[in-house]
Amino acid sequence: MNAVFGLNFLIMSIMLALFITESMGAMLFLFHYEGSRKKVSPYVIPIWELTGTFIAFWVVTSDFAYPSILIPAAYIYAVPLLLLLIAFIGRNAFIIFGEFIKKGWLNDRSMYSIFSIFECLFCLVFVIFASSVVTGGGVILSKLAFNAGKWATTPGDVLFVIGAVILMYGFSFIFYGLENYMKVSMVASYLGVILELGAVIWIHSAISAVPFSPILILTIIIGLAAPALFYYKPTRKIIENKVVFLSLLTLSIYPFYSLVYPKFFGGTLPVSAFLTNTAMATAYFYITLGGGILLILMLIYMVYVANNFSKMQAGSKAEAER
Amino acid sequence: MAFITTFDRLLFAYSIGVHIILVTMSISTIVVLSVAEYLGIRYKDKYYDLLAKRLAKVFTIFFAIGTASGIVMAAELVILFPKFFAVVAAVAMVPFYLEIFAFFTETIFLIIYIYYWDAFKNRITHWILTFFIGAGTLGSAAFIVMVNAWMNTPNGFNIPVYESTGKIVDVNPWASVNAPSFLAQIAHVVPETLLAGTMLIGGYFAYRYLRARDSDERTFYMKGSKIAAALSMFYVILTGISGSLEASALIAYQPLKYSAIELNLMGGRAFEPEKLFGTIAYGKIVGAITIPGLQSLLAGTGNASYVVPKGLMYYPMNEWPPLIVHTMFDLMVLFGILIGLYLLVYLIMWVMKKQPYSNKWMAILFPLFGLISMYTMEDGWVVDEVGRQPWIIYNVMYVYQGANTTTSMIGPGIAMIIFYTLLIPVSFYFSARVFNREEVSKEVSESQSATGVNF
Repeated sequence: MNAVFGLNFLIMSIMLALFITESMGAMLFLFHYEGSRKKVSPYVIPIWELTGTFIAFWVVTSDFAYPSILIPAAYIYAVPLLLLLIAFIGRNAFIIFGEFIKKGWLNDRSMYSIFSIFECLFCLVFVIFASSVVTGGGVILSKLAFNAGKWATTPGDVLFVIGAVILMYGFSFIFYGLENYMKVSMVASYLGVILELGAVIWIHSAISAVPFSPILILTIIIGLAAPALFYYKPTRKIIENKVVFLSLLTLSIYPFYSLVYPKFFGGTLPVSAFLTNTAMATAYFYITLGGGILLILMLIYMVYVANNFSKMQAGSKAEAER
Repeated sequence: MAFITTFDRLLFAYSIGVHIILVTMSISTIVVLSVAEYLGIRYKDKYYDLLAKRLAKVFTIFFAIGTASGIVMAAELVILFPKFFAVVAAVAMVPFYLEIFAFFTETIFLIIYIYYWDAFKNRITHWILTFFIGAGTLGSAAFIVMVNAWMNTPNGFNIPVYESTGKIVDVNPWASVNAPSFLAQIAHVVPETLLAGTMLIGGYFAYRYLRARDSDERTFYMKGSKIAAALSMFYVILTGISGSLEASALIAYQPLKYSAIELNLMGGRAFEPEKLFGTIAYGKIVGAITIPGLQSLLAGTGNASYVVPKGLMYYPMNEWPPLIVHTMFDLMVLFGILIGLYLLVYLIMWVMKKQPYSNKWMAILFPLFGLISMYTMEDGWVVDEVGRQPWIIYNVMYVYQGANTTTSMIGPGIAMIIFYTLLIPVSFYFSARVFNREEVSKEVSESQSATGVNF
């Protein structure tokens, strides 16, 4: 695999893992606000800023890695991209208002609900965009245009999106440790895995140029194992651990590279044709290395402070109870 | 096609005009916040402490909205000017990429600073975090200005080959980090941005001071005004000095832009007069107030026999920027001088112990100059960007060559303009509401942890 492509896809997988977990929180805010708020807020509220930065990170690395794809992509996906932007602004604006505005008719719950709608809209448009990049669904290359109707009739695309939404709903209870919803979580998670698998097989059988690589088995195993680990009490704490879940999610997203490499848009366009020049690729590598080390160090410090703070709070609580 | 190109221009100009306001507020707030927190620790002053805590919330709001609009900018550049951005991505992507890590620095330290405020028993350690946030914020801005400087003075690839064949060869990715105009540009952008935001913050404090209901509120806003005014005095001096450097860089690297902003039709001579306002009609300068020899004197830093660059008539008319840049430039300088004078009076009163921060008239004028400062900063960017027209990359690519000419984005583009139009007043309204939600006297009298930003 090309190193620039591999690195870019890894950054996208981390970004998506962060964004998906946040969107799962948004789903819970929308459908189970009272039952989930105490578990969702402590994660979503500090982390949304980091997720947003990761989105910017991925956008810039993609621009860096594939400069010549920008022109066709801008023409083809102009409308979905602008929708993504509007959703992103809305997401940022309303989560921050929710953080600080607690009283009045526009209280934090209203703000978080609006945030959740923008978050889910962003997620939905992104999944549609991703499925279109895999299958070429809705893309009219000769006119450099995107047709939503054509996308919807491409084999597997709609099923892929529905499967992703259901899977996220099922996983949301696992990630946020909402044990009261265990049965719903199990049903939704396994249904989501089956639909996703069905979608990928359907896409492969209809568009043979989109491969069904054995590496996707890793994704399937993680998809099947996560609900089981949640259901089984001794392993529940492991899968509920945020770092473990995020790592597994990143690992399960990464194999999807096989659907778009070495060719994407339903096997019509080679990735290699769009990769950047050697000089820029070298600069990309060195900056990612240096910046990556800096990023990891800063994240370690953040986790260190957060853990100390949790211990401090737990200590104060215990003292108050005594 | 011309209509779509104009639409692309307007959409981007509007979006970036709004974005600049948000970024300016973030950059300025973090400095005021840092000074307030330090003074709070140093003098064990609860008013400064409270000021820092309230400003932290405001900073987070501007950061959140600014982040979103920053990503919009990145995406809009790609969507609206794909051919331009394809060149940037192949040649000048390093500053954009470095900016991401500055952005991460700002984000991560902001999360630690805000959400784990009470985790720091040593207040100085907590205060030091503001340096990292500030470094990230200013770093992000500096890297973006690097790209802008590259647009003004492109380098890092074989330009003649690109112009003749459209192929990008001999790429040096690191060259864009040091485009010839960068140092002069960043030296001016940083203090002028800080000045605009800090003056607006100070103006808001002065306005609230005038409306204060009790002595606690008066003391609180008076202390805020003091910080904002002191910082603004420092920034205005730097802005003036760096503005002169920026003009010298224009003479060296963009003589056509210089001639347009100075309304030099002939140029190329010593003892060139300064033309205030006016324009060119039928090949003549009309309506300008002329001050003999002043332009050469200023451009030559005291040397009136300095020969200014050749004027507009030596360039094809279709390469002239819109001459409105001359008026905009004059307004920028005029307002800059007025702001400087206001701050000078403020300083004199302060030195003479006349307490300008509690003077009614100075407090009334502060918000006015705050708004003027913000306008002046935007005006400066208009001079820079419109002054480069019709080029998007100076002497390499015209704007129309880089623009996306499909009609499909007009609808979402209009939606974007409406959305932005609503977003700015909403952001300022919520910032003000968050800043003034509780009574000062109540918060000051409470214990430290109770007044902290607890989540």
